Amino acid sequence: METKNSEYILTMSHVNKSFPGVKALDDVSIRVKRGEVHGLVGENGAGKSTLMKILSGVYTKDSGEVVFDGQVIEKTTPVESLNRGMSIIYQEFNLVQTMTVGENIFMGRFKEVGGMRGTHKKARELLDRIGSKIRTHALVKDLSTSEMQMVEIAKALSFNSKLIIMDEPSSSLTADELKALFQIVRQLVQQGISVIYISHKLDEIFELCDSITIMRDGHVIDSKPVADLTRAEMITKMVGREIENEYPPRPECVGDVLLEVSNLNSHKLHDVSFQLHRGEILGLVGLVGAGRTEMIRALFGADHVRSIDVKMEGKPVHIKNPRDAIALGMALVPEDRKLQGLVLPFGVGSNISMAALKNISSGPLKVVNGSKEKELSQRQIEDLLIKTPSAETKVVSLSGGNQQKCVLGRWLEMSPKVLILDEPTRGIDVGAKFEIYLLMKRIVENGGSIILISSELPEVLNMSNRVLAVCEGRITGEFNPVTDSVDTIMDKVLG
Amino acid sequence: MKKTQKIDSQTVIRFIMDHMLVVILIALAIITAMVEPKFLKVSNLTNIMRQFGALSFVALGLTFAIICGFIDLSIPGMLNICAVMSVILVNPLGQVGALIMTLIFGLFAGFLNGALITRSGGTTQAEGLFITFGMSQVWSAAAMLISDGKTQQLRWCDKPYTIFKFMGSYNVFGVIPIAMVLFVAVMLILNFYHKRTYSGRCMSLAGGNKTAADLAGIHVNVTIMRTLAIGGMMTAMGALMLVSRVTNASPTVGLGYDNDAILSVVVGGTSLAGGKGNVLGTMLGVLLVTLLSNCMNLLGVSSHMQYVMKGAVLIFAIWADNRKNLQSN
Amino acid sequence: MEQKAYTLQDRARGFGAFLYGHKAIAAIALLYLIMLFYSFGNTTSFFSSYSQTLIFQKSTVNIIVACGVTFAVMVHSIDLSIGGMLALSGVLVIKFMEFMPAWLAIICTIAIGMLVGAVNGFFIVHQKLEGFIVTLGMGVLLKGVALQLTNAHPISANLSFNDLAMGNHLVFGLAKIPNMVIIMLLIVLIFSLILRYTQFGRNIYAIGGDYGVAEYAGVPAVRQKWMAFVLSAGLTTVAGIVNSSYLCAGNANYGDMTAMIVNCAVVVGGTSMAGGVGGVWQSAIGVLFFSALEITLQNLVPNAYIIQLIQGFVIVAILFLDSYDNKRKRERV
Repeated sequence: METKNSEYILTMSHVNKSFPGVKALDDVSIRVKRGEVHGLVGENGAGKSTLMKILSGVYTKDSGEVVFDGQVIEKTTPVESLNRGMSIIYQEFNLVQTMTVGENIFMGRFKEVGGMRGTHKKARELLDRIGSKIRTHALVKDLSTSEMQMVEIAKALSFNSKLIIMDEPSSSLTADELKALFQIVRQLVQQGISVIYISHKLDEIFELCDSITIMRDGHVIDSKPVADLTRAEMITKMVGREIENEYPPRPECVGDVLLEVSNLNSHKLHDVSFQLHRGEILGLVGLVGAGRTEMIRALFGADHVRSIDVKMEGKPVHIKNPRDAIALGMALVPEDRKLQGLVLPFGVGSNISMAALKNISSGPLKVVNGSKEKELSQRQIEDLLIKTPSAETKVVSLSGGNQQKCVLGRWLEMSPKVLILDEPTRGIDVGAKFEIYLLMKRIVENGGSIILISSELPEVLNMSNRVLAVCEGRITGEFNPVTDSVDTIMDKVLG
Repeated sequence: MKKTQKIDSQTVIRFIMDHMLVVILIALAIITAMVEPKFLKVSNLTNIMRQFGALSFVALGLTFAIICGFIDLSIPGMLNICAVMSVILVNPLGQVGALIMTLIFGLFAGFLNGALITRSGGTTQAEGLFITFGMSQVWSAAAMLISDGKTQQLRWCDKPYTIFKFMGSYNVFGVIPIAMVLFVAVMLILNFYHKRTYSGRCMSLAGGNKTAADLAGIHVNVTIMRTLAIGGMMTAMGALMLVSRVTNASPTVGLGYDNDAILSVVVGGTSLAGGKGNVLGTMLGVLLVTLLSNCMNLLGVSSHMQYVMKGAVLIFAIWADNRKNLQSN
Repeated sequence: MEQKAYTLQDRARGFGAFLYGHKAIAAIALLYLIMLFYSFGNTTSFFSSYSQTLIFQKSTVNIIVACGVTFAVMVHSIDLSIGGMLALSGVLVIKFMEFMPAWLAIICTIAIGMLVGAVNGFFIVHQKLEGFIVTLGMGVLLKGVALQLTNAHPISANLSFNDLAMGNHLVFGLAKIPNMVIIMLLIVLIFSLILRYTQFGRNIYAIGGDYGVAEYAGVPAVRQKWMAFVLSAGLTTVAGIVNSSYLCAGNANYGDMTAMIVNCAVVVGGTSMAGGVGGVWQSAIGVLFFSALEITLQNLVPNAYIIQLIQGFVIVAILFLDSYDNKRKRERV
């Protein structure tokens, strides 16, 4: 049993957590020393966020032991763990946008800190402690991302936190802001606070962290001081898995240029140009928030842009809204299938037939041909092996993979020339993933082209014919996934 | 043995919960018929069907608006202006002209609601709520203005107003009011529109998820405007039914119709969240509301207690709906 | 980073932003300006103390209601039950006074009001039902009760009850300001302070701004959101009592329009429909704007119906611009 004065602030041993159908954490053990920066790396879905949520008390672990600051923690709530001295800074900050900086720091503790004046005074002290010059009276919605992060750090300090967990803190920071963040983290460590630093970016990990835990598929792969690891080792440990079984052979049927995008500018995108060939799978890799989704949304006419020139089959076209894009033979499977893809209260059939409805309605009244509709949704259900009791079953009751297949089926019915897939396999089990990969293969073999966005690097690298690196709203490099190494690609992705 | 019994009782309860409306309707009718035999008399039933007129059309229109994700509060004002207008226009345009103009006006006013909501970028119910409420004020005031605040009598018209009379008092086979027949016809048309036509399907899909509908190539703004325009026209129809029945048009006739219509629609099973619902359910809802008043009148309950009843039913209806949704998810 | 010099244009834009931020005040100022110009060429009683008092008196009841409704709108909901609550409380207090002393009648009425608010809160916060429809139903229900109690006839109160609202001894008869205005000002002051300077008030902002974040930070979100509805109904009861005292009568038909008008006024005053932004003080200004608009129009336009028409247009225009502005902000490229 750890004592209060143990060398370790946090000890997790043999923690397990399963969700229906998935084992999210499998026998995970991690130890974090007092006053160290502990890097936690792993791909999306490796189990990092589940781990955090167990620590904060959003989820309850199935088995295992968590000892924090000498105390065994069985069940906890986010509020309790905050008061115990463990703060988590999530990627999407826990801040009320409409309130001031000071009040966000001391939310719910207005009386304790002595009213409005005390709030702002103490907030000032905390912000000064991390060397931040943000006005405590500023509204959070007017702050930049890095400033919001400072507020979160100040908030963590206000709870006298002994452990601060930062989830991808650098994902939308500029180089200068990052430097400042590092300085603050080092300062915190000097004050005896431990930091768990979760990141994709290996450079940061090597620069900042004292020790590292690498996770993959719910397991801890390795945990050692940073000095004992090389960069190459780390990448293999992060990514290294039996790839052969997970991806079908890469389709090779690239033809001539189909789509040409140039001069794409908006508030997040800067002079983006790229080409898409017939029968090609074009992968866009980049960090979350790098501008990948914005690029394809702009192309699809879903967002306002300052300028964009699109040529389809050599002819300039104007895409003002998604309807124009669809008429040109484009299709978009959006990243958030529940918010943007599906009409949840509706049946599987209506969700599939949604885009094709116009084509199967006829006459001056545009009567939808009911039998054709049934036929087409049934066809997609059978083709895509969507597991559903019937076409009338509400789509909300299906599993993630089957939901995604509904969105895909909707577009396959339109036989699109350009299919844009934004995170098509997020939150989907392995079996369904493979089916989606096979489907992608079938589409390009039938002459379609695909733009693939994914946060899972192996997925993009194994499926694409060509890869574009996206960083801070620009395309920073073009690669051949077969010949170019992961390192060179990641270099460009990280900017 | 015990287990099967338990399941049986559960299925019975579920069936009752699912068809709550019909069950309540039948129970209400049976109880009233037992206590007050007058209820089943042909004259009373005809009376119920006639009362059905105005509210049913208004509720149909509102059903569409709510399916599309908006609550149309312009109903009272629209009823006021349409009613007054239809009477005033008989003299200059003749009765056919007056009828047609009123319907066109309703269409236009509904379209205006839609245009204001979509142009302002309002995608939430709250925004639509306040804008349509403002429109209700505008139309009410306009009705006052053109009628000079006086109730307009049909019999003041110099030209014939036989269509109004016909719609208000003719009974098919001597028992079924023509208003009822018209309503059923319109309801079937709207049901066809909603379930079978492309525009109708767009309406539900847009109500279910505007972002997803837009990304799937549905013209959401046009859909909203079209839906609210149909809603406006239905309200105008309701106004015409009202005028036909009472042969006059007060510029404040629409007061309270918004509550009744919302009650009917919600009780009829249309979800306020948008997307789900149908006009047949609304018909049952309207039936319940009218039957409720009728039964209570027959049973001698004061008209004031009916307000209490309606309020309670409204809250109970969404509470039950919410429970059902929680269970199914 | 290069520092931008302040140009005249920037200042003008800053002034525009200031006006926009205080649009209700700006709108009232505009009304007074219009009347000022109008008064040069025409005789008008607008600036008489009578008219000015009237603006305040007309607003008093609605401002008290608006104070409460602000809390409901602040937590990202709406309260339409206030119309029925206003009517019922006005009737109840008079009915109670028939068999108990006035102070007890007032306390009982307020207690009933808060109970109704608690019921609203139960359905909206605890059962997570749509606030709009719950309060709409509750409003109809309450109105029915009021109608039943009075049989739809206005009931009159003891004349001495009028003193509560119209007497002016609350501040030693100072400047002949009627008590109701003093009560209103006190309520605005107290609840502004509560919203601004207490833990509860700040929590209301947090709950409205982001329910999840507030809950995560340990704010007792359910309880305090619930409290917002209790306050909304409770203050409406106070308004109903004041109104009955002012009219020296209770009328179950009073308050039919109040619900929407006050909710509109709260939003026009600057309390955001999205929750988390606004304040009691702003809502009072919003209500004042509507009253000032009415009195101004009465001076300018002879026809009452045209006044109503213009009011309708103003509501539509303001709300249209409000959400148009939100849309522009969302789509900023």
